Amino acid sequence: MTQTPLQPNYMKVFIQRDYTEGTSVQFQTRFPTELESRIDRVSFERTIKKVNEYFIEAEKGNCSTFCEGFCACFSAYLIYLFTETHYEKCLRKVSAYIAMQNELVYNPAGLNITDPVLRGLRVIEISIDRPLNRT
Amino acid sequence: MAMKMAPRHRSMRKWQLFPGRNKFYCNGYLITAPNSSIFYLTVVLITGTSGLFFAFDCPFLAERITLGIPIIGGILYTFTMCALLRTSFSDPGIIPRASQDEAAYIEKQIEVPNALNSPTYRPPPRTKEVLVRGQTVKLKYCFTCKIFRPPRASHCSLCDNCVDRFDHHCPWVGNCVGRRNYRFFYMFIVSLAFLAVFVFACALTHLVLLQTETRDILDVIRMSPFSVVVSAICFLSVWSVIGLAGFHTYLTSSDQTTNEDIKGSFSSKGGQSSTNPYSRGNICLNCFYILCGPLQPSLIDRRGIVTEEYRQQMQTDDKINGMPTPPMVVQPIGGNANNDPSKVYNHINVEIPPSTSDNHMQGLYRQRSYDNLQNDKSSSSVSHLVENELPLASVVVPSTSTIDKRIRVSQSSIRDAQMPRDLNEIVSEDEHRKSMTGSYNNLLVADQPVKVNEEKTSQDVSQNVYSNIPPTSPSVPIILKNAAADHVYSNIDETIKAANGYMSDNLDLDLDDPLLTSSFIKKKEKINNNSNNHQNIYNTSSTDSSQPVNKSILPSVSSSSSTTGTQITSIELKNVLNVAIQKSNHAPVEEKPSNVPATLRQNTMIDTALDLDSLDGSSIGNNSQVGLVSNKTAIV
Repeated sequence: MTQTPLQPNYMKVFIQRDYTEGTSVQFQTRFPTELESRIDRVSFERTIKKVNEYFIEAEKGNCSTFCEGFCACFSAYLIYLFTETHYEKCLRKVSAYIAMQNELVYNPAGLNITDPVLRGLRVIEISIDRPLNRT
Repeated sequence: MAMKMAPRHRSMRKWQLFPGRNKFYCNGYLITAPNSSIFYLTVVLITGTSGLFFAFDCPFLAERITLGIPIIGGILYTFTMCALLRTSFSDPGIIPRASQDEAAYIEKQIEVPNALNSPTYRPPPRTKEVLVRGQTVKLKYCFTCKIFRPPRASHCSLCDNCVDRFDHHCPWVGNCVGRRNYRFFYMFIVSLAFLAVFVFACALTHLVLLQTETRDILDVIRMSPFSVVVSAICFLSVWSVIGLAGFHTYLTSSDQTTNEDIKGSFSSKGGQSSTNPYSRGNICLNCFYILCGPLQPSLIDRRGIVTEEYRQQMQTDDKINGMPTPPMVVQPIGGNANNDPSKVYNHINVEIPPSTSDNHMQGLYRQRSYDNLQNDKSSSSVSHLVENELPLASVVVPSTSTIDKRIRVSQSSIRDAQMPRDLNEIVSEDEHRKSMTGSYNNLLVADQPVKVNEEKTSQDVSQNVYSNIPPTSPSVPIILKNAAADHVYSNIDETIKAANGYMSDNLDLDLDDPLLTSSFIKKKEKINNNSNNHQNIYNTSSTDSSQPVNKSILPSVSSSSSTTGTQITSIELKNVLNVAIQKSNHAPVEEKPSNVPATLRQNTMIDTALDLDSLDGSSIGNNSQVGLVSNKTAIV
């Protein structure tokens, strides 16, 4: 139980949202200069692109998502009380993917990605030299 | 110590630390807006009317016509109520505020380029332009949430949150309507329209059937009085509900929000047309996506367990919010004083744009939208920064209401108080138009030497346009000369308090004072050509409070929408005005009842109408200019 009175002084990089394709959740793949000595550009872009793909899948309107919407509407939205929506499933995939990437790629390089859901899907937060025992 | 703290932390949920004003029920499962009294009215209206219908009309109709009528009615009612409750108690799409680190990161990014060109320090620009499908969209920085609002998001000042794809804050459902609950809201409106039509038709059928049997209308009314009541309620409400349903159908099919529609974001502006970049280009596709598309889960994770880190970020945020002079660069420009409610109410009164307080809800809404910017009270065009935050309550408000006289008083006083602000705004815009870009023109007023304002003011006054502000314009420069520090209005406050000792208790209102008290100064100085005009302004406010309001011009005011904030506002303003009226009555100059109050009032109304049409920050300034110019022609 060591309580740090102040925020430890490690750097954080925030990957901002990319709005060029509308308001769907997409993140910029531009490589932040702060990470240059830490990780190679390719693996960084691969991670972000993969995350973006998950979000495209989550917000894509196909037959199943429309059916889900119709069912919810006809049940007076009571169905949402019991079932997990398509979007939520995709968000879980994102969380799982980021956890995996952290473990394989980022944590060894002294980086840690925070799940974007925890930041309201506004940013992807990458902490540099963050103590790993903190969650 | 740590052992004791630990279990409390573990049981703490995030909604308990939520920074907005929303209320939570059922341990965070339900979220709703802070003031939900009108929501209860909605529930009572719908349930009461339907209850009367089921109790008195349905048995008769089921027996005479078909059993289907109560069944259909029941289904419609259930659906409507489900949609209503769903709209009210779900997260509208609140965008969580930035953590401290993120806010600091954004600060750093904004600050760097600006620190370079600093002989005179300038606050960093608070807008960011992004390209959305080939169209430039301006993202505004939200001082409360410390983020650049995503496109289509807007800050709801009632709930004090940024809401994604903000449509409007609907008092009738007691919540914001945004990205996550727009579909519920739409289904509520549509099903309510069906329900109202259905119930109306059935109740009417009931009456007609009875009438064919008894052949006497009085007998019919005596036999089933509740059918008459039900059909009357339905007849009155069905029009607004159908209109609203149609309006939202149009919006949905073109993928716009009420906010954007009212602001005219996608209409052709100044010859340069801009199409909606968010639309999918196909009516059906738009409807599908909005009403049945994937639903984003709530982002605020209100039932999540509070971790130590989360608490740390939140608490440091709170600390910063509460501090009088916070260390960040943002603070001098737009503040974080919204944690201090007593302070809020003092400034609220004067920061309402002149023509927007048409009804209680709207007035309240506007007021709150300036909370986070009130530190900037010396620069008048706060409206530039918050032009996203439109009061849309009136769109949903059916016109079943009476008008509260107090609003009229506060309106006129607010209008009066606005005049020096407009003047100052115009001056400062002139001053900075060349050197500044975008929305933050006027933020610099406080940084400028007062002399500049003074000179400009007197110049402009000598020109024709603004010379219709006799109470203020000659006297403002006088006061400004006395002002030592750079905070214009608060200095006036102090100076006048010291010099005249007027209204020492009521003088909390920063911007009411220059007008009211400066006019007293003028009386003391006995400049008689202007004093008639003072009288007229006082006449306006006093006659307004006693005259019935022209309903055909003014938008409707909800009778039951009185909220504490507005009450305080109007009461405070009333106090000031009462004093003002008393003083003017004691003044040596004789009051001449004339036509000028009427013309002023008319201008007020024209202003109101104009302002609803064009809610751009810039056009708000223009409107007040229009009002001033026409005032001038009327007075002179």
